Amino acid sequence: MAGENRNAGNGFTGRRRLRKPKATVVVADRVARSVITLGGIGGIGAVSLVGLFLVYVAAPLFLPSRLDAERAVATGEPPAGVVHVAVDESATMAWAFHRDGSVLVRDLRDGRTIHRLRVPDGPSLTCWSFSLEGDRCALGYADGSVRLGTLGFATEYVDADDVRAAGREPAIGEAVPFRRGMVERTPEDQFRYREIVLALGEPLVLAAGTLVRIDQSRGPGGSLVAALDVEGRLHVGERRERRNLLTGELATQVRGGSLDLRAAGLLPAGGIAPSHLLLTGLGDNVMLAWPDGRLLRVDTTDPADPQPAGEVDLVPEAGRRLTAIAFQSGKASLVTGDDLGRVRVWFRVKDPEGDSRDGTALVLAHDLSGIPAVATAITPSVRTRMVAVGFADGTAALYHLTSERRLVTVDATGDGEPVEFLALAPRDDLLYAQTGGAARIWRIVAPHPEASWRALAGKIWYEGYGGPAWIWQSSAATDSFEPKYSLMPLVFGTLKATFYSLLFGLPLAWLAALYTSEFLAPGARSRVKPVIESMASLPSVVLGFLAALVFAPALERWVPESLTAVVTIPFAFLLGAHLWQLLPREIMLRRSRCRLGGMVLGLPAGLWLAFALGPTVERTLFAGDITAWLAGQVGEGTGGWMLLLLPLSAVAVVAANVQIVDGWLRNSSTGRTAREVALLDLLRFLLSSALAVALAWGGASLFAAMALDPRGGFLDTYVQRNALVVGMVMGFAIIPIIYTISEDALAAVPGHLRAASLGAGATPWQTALRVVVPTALSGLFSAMMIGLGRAVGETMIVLMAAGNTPIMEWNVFNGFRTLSANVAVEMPEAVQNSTHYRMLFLAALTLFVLTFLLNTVAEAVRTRFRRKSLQL
Amino acid sequence: MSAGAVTTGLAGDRAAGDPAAPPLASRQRRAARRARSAVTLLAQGEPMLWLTGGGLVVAGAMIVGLVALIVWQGALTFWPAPVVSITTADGRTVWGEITRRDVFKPDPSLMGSLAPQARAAAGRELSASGGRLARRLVRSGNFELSGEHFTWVSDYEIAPDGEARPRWALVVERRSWGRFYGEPVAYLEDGKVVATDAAAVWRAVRSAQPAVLARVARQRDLERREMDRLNTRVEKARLAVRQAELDHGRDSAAWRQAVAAASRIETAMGQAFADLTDRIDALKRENERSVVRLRTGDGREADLALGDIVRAYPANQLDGAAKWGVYLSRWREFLADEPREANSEGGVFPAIFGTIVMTLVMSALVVPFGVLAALYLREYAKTGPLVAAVRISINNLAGVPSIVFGVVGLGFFCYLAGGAIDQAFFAARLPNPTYGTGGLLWASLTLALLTLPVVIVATEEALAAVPGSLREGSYACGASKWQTIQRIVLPRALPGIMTGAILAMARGAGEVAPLMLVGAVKLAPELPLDGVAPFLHPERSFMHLGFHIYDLGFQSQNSEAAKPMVFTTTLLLVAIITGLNLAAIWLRARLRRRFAAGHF
Repeated sequence: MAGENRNAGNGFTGRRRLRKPKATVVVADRVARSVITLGGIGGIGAVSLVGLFLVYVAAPLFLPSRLDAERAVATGEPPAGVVHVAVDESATMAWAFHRDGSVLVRDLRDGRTIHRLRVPDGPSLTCWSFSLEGDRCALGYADGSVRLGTLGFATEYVDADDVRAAGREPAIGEAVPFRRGMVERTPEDQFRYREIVLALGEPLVLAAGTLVRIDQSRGPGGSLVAALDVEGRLHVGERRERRNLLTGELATQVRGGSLDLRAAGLLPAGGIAPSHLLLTGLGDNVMLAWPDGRLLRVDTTDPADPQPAGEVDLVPEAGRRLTAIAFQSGKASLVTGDDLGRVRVWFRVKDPEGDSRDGTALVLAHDLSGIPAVATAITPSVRTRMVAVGFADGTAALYHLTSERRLVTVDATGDGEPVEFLALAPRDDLLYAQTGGAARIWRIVAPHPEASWRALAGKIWYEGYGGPAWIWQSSAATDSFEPKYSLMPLVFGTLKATFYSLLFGLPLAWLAALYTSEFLAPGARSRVKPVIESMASLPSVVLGFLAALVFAPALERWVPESLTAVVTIPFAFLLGAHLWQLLPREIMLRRSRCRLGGMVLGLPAGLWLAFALGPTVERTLFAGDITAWLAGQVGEGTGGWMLLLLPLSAVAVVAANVQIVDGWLRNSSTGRTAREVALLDLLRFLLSSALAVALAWGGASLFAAMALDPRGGFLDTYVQRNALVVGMVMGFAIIPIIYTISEDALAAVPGHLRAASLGAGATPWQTALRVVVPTALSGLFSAMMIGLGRAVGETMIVLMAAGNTPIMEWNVFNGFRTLSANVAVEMPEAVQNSTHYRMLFLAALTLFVLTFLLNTVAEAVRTRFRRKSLQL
Repeated sequence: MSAGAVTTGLAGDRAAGDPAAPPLASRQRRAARRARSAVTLLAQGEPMLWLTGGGLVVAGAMIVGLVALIVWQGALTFWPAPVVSITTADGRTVWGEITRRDVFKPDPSLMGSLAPQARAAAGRELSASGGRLARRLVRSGNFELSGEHFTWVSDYEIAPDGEARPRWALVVERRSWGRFYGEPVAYLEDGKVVATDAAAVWRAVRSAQPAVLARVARQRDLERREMDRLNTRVEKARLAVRQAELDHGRDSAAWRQAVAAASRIETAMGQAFADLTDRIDALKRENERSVVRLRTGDGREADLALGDIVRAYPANQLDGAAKWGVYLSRWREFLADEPREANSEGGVFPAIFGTIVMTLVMSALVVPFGVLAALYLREYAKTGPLVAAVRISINNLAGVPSIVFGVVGLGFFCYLAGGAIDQAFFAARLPNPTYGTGGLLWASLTLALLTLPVVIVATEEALAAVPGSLREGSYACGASKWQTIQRIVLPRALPGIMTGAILAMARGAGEVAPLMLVGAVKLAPELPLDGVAPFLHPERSFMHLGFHIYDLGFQSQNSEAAKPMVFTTTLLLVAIITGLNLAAIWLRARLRRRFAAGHF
């Protein structure tokens, strides 16, 4: 080739032909190729980044938790007499409370004692309790008095010069001993000083004898304290502090009462004191637990009059013992450990049938088993539902109670010694375990302990609920709140929205597409189609606004009319058809264009009928007030059953018509004129309609007579923003896309099939129903799938019109919350990289995958259909 | 005609029938056939046909109804309604504009609580209308006196002859507190009554108003622009100090210098601030000199400073031209001014501006990349299963819900990319985010991501529609690939590409869900594009028409007052999007014509 070119020389134009392309052309070509390739792949990559990024953010939810060994500390002498240990935020210090009332603060890096202090001298200390948050304590004495106060680490910022003056210059992030505590240089270059603070209030005499168990809580009005004395009397005291608004004086008021357990026969034989006394966070219950697992609840709603409120056996197995017990943060859930190695969670639920005094019962909500050793120490987290449990074989484990997961297990002592004390740093990032004279510290890497497949999809028993349930509630006002991350209510809401909108939109879109493609004149078709298509680009925020502020109030006002319209509008069209048939044949053929005009009249006629009948329907079926009827206040079930049965009875009547009456009509119409047949057909239609209504009425009366009530399922209390509104408006929103794709599919059926069918004597309707629709079926299906995808992901309409309550009921008159609306509502408030944030990403990922799959199926079906219809 | 149908049917049957059948059976069969053919009526499926047509009618009616509702409500909102004075039987008088009428089902306890006369009227009405009572919602305004903007008045409450249209009822639109309805009783200048006759007062107000409005504009300009300028300088100096501290550390020479400069600027600006405040106060005082005293329907009097009045007109005296004047002036305000009163009054200019700027930035991002990707897929990539898979995936991405893109935009653009930018370039402003939160750039990028599949698909289709013969011809003439694309393929595909781009713009302009996460806010006084260098501020959050609708309809305090605004905003948004769509349709038609003409 090249040789030929060279030989060719100059062309006939006389101009010298270039044998090689110009360098600029070559360069431009190369540049264009690389720019387009880069830009193209970049663009495609950017789009595919969407899915990858969702996975990247959501995936850490399911990463396993782990404990990284931080350091081991020798605490010197064995901690004889230590009863409680707590660590500070960065686990640089720990304080240990001793039986004799002394408090020892240690540097946790080298084990040296930084500071030592004692509770004030006085009568001998006999019992103590420390709050989980590490700031309050209650001490009980031999003379029956108690002292409430503060014991814990306090933080303040100190001047850099003071630290330097003391000869300390910590690097950023480092902590050094300073004064009575430690000072840490923060990344913001501030000096944070932490020291132990012990401040006790005046003694409060509760009892005459020695106190043996004590606990305290802080309620909304003041402090509560409960203590048991050696005689078996339970004393409850409430201290209220009220500041006089005028004088500013602080008035302290103490009131309380006692309950003699021994006299009430509530102490076990031998008079053994309970091993634990626990006072709930609200102060309404005192729980006394004995080593054999017996737990006695005392109702202290009125502190002046404590009364026993029930007993539970925490360890029913004979001979087994309760070895550890503690309150979760919020002091509502009890965590117990026993010598079978079980960790169990108990909380009170409402129990109206029960005979307990306060109407509640303590139930076993979570059971986490798995380590075959005696549980020796339980330390709940301050902030979350995590709990650290130590065992007699030296194992320490972290559990998450809501998701019932054992997050991680570690050999805490290394030599099989039992774990004596466990402490969690307040931010849940460090675990401290102490045995004998040695302590170890681990860094906890458990960013999302509450997430698990079970928590996402399964029913979980949350604190305060009557039983396991699917609940989404991501935030609340209180700190001790248990986040509830079940995606099920949201998935359910999405399905409900999709179901009702497809129920409304799909038939309309399909019917409209069939009519447009098969029966509409080509001229009209080219005008009608763009109009409906253009609706696809109507912003959904507009539809949502109209749904919520126009349709929802209108629908609320005309509930019976709207329900009647569902029946009367199709009825009006059918009636119109039967009346049209009465026209002479010639006119019918010649004026077939007017048919559309007749159809247009059908809609107002149906609406008029609905509004005319609406009040009657409401009076006869719904006791004159449908809202009250739906709420279950008035009336019987007949109306609701009728509503539900009417579609079924209509289908039954149509089936009977096709099976029996059609044949008879054909036979009996022999020799009759078309007009007579049409009259007969009209009569048949009217009778059938009446029969359908009568059948539904009969069935409804039967069900009502059987005392069945439809309210509670698909029909229930009316809420203004409900699934019916969303179904209608979102159905309307997905009509254009379903319509367009269906119409394209129907129009793509080759014309020769129609021609053949018509030529064989089939009517246009028969052709449409038996030739065109079956051929285009896969296209219609793919249209449905794409519509489904739209409905699943639609955000603004449901956000504005669905009420956004994440409840799970099919009630068409109640709201719901979808995945998409939930993301839109909660995403702006979610803290970056929190469990909530990742959970919302997971919701978005679910939507992404769902719509992607639906669209892929639709696309595959459509491609197949195209290939098939080309072959035809 | 029936007979005709029967004969043709029979003829057809006979031709198809079996001639060898026995005569008796043949007759029976013929009878049966005649019977069947007689009911072609049933085969026509007329009822089913009407049902399918009904589907189309219902869908069409909903669309037409919806658009009609939006246009009707949106266009009528600004038309000045007459002020009616309604006196109830118990002597209460309400002045205001009637916003809508309604019927309601009265609570059973209502009748018992009524005065005898009203009870009789209500009873008559109840029996006439089947258990419902009519009422009307009157926009009664005068919020500082009555504590409400709207009042429901039931028909039975109205005294006989209780309705009137007071001749001198003024509608006063104010900068705060909503509307005021009342008749002018005095015009005060510096606290002295100048005029007391209604007509004279109105004349005085009219003549004083232009100067007052000019002063108000001047005052707002000072408050906004001048104040802003001063604030910016102080802020800049403060940032310089922080930057010096970050770069050189505290106590360094550069830091001391910056501190000194900042304190210098602060002193200077303090003086300027004081001057500016004085000037603003002077304007305010000047505007407070002229006061109009109005008497409300229930006889109370209130003094309104002219400076607080945006617009006033005697509603019951307007002739056609004056009504049009008020109507058009409201539209002008709506399109060109900023919102007032928690967005429920005033204009939506910042939202229009935000929508347009965001859409343009989005298009500038999405069109080049979309076209490049489509060119790559159609012209450069080797066709195979991988490209087919990519193509299907892109097609499917067009169906992924927009909120998902919003989530990605927030997580990737705002938090990840924006956070990194802040760390690298705006460390001085931390912990206040600059790019690390929603803003115009991130919103545009998110929507670009969202509309990229639309552009790619449309461009690919346009490229595919260019006949292969054209390309082959170009190659045969010795053109290189890029020359072919540049001179033959792209010009032919251009209308299709533009259609895709316009459709993407229409989709982008109407999306709200992702914007809620990446930068649209309810009020952003600072426009993303202004006269302060560097002019385009891609980090600023912005207002958006779609978000405005959502916010007005759902977050508004006074949702009844906001409703008309929502309809007008909706009309505007729908008009913009319809306009874009019509442009796309027009282009598509042009494209088709061009191909019909120039086929090889």
